[in-house]
Amino acid sequence: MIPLNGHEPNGRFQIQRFLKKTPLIDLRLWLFRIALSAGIAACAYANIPWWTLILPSFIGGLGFTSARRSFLQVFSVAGLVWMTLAIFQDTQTGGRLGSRIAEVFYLHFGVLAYLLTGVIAGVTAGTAAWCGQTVRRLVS
Amino acid sequence: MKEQGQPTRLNLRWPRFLAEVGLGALPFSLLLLLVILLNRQNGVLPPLSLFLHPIRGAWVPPDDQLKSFSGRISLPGLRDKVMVRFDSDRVPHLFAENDDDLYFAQGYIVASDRLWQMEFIARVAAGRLSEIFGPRALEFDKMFVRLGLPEAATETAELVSHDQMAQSALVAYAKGVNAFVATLDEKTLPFEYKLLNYRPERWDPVKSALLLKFMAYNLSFFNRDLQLSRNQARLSDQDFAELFPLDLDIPEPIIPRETAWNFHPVPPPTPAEPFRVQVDHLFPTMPMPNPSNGSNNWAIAGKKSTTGRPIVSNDVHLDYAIPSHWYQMQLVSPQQNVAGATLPGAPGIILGWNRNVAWAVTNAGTDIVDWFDLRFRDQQRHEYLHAGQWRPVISRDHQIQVRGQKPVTVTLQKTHFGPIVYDEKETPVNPVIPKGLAMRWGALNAGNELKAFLLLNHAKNFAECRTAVEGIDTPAQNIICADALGDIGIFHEGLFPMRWRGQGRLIANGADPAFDWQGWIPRSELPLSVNPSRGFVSSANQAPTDTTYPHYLGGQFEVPYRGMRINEILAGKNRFSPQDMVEMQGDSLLILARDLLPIFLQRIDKTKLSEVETEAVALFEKWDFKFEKELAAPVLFEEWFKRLRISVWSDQFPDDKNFYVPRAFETARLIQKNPDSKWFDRLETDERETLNDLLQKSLQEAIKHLRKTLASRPGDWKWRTYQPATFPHFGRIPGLGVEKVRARGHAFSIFANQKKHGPVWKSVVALGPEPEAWAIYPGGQSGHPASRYYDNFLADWAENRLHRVQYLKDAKSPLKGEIKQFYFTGAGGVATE
Repeated sequence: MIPLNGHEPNGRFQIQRFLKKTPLIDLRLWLFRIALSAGIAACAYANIPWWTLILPSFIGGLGFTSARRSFLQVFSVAGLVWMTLAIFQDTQTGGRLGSRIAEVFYLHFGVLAYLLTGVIAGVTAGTAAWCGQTVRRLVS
Repeated sequence: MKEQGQPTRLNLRWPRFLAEVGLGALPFSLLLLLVILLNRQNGVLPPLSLFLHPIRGAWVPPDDQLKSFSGRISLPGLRDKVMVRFDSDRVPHLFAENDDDLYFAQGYIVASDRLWQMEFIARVAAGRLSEIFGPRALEFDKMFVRLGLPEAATETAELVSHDQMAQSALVAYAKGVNAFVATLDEKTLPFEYKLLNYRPERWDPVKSALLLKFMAYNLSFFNRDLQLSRNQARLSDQDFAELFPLDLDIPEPIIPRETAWNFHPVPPPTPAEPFRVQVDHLFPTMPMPNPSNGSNNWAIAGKKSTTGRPIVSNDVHLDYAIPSHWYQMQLVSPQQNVAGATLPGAPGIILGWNRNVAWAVTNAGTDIVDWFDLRFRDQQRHEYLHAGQWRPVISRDHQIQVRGQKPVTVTLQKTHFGPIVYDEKETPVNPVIPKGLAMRWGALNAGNELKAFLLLNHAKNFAECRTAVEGIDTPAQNIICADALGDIGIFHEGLFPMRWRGQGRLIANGADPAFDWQGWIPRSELPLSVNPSRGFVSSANQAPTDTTYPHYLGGQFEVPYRGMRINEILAGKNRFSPQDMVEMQGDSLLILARDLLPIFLQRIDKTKLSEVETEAVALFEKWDFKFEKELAAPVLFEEWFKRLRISVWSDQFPDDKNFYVPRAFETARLIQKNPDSKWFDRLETDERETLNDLLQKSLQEAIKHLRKTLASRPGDWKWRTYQPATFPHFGRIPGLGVEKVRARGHAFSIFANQKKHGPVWKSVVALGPEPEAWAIYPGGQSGHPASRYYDNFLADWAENRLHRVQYLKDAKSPLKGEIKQFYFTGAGGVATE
């Protein structure tokens, strides 16, 4: 068994094996991430309730065989989308908006407001993906 | 053959399947729970998913580029086009074809920057904060409802509705506000609405009236009747008269001492018997209007000005808040061309100038709040005794909506004096409100102050300015008028009850009609000074007159140091330029320190000081009594005097909520005139302390305290560190204010900067063929906490750098640094350029 970090049991690092196993270069996974990002961003921009991000996340979850992976993958994608959008908005105010929002929640650092924003979308989307993966498991 | 007890194939699969389904329900349940939790209000916390939504929530950036104002905006209801131009300070200049359109556009523009703030104040005054903040605001709401503010605002709006000028302005303004509200959606709602998760209501004239009543509360609800009554109960008549004389003769009253009064009023009859009420209630520590709420104003005549025409100066002192209390504008129509500061929520300009006239206001401070002790017929409290007859208490229920809870019903009780503000069983949230007493407060009368300000906006000369200010009832003001032709004058203006000497100073006998208000002081007999020979008029909330004024006004007037300093500077030089006036507004010299420090230093025993204490006292050697932000000496003087004052009075008057503690002026007067007074002896000790003892002890305590809290070396103390200015958010929302602003000044210097209170508007206007003006206020034009126009004036305000105001002659005049120009048009955008 080759661990995902590319180290063999004897401690030697095998770059080829690492690249083969790591999801970073998995083209299908990247396509999935891009499609999901587009879906989450579309839900954010459309004049529809925030929780509609559940739909693309749920569909995304159907593609996974592992509940943990489905949650983590979709959590990170959705979290990053919301966080990126928030950061983009904040750049227009020179960081003042992030600082203010953080201070309202006693967070003191603007970056924590980005994180909180990302976590809200990430947790919801990740859980929706977990639901999707569960349906896949039950049906199969 | 199956073994005994071995489950069948079917038996084996179904339980596993059911378990799988059961486990499978877990993420769905979690998801549902998450959506519900993130979508709901949690106490005062907003639904996080909505508030932090990156496209529609709080992350929507402020419209600093004014992108929403492009080209032409169609506003149904406008008769003609209105041109709007924003200058580099984001100050809007409005040009309309008629006054109605002007106020319509004003309402729209002010709301676009300050909607939440104006609606918030209207809610405070209406006793409706609980609808937003829940039960935590309930006692506050009860107080305003019981004070009668909502009822008074409704009556005021009703009175104003019969006045064509004021009503048209109010209605047009409300239409403008509502036109802006109609443009709002989830994305464009102001920041605070998103945070507190509610939507703005429609604006109407009653809300403007509420706002003006709230200002009246802030500026006139000062009274120490209960505290003084308690002092009286503690002291002998002789001691009470010594410490709290009825007529406090101050060095520089507003109206010059040589003024002769050419009328001889007959005072109302005094009571046959003196009255002393028994009061013994404790109060919690809810804030009341800051007693320092006041202002400075002065005007110099042409003969004292380098321009040859009058120059008018005004700085208005209130609790610091951001967004600011004020919003700067210029309003132009064929009927007027006025500029200055408007109160968000009210049409017109409140502090300002036009082409011909400038006016400036300070709070009058005259007593218009009295409390009456009632003798009820029985425990039911349905009737009270007055003039030998039982009169009914009129009761009605008022419902307060509370967010997340059932509505709360409050029973309001009213007498012929006014409301009984608190029931015996209830605890007042405002320390100046005694329990179970009836109140009479001048601000509860319906008045049309708005019209007075609209007339000021339109005034063409001194006489019209004078006529306009006669319409001000409450809050009473010291108003300066000056015109371009050269006239200057100051008027102590308001609706003041006619009183016998001392009436209304202490809690009154509600059964004796001699304590009733007996009519009003005629306007023609109010204090005024027009074109005085000294060439200037001024006020700083001090007593309006010396003791020769025939009427008794009462009131807790501000200590006179600011007024003394203003007059000292104005009398000390022959001619002043507008820039001299600006510099004067930044003056931080404290006359109190100049008067007392030599006495202090003479009376302490320097041989008993330690090395560090000697070093600290040496700070005073080159001090010019100015409270500049980098200096250490002001820190030591302030701490020293504060501790001395406490050590002199704390044995007699343990706190300033239940007792009226002699203020800095009275304490200084005692030190200067009677240094061997018995009041310097502490009651709780057997020894006889002297002023010298208290000075020595308080100095050493002050140094010890400052070394502990600021810096061990006295030379490292800084006034800016000792007293940094703090600007909390208007609704006291954490994180939206600005802290640690470094500014000079003392509560009693002209630059009356305190930690949370001080000048919130400063202007200097040089009248002439075209007025030239300079102004600044702490804050910025935008109400959005992340806007660069939210607090962009603060740094210049702290340095007393006033901005040159661009007063445009007409819509075609050049505007330096113009950042936006657009038109409002009527429905369909039919108006042409």
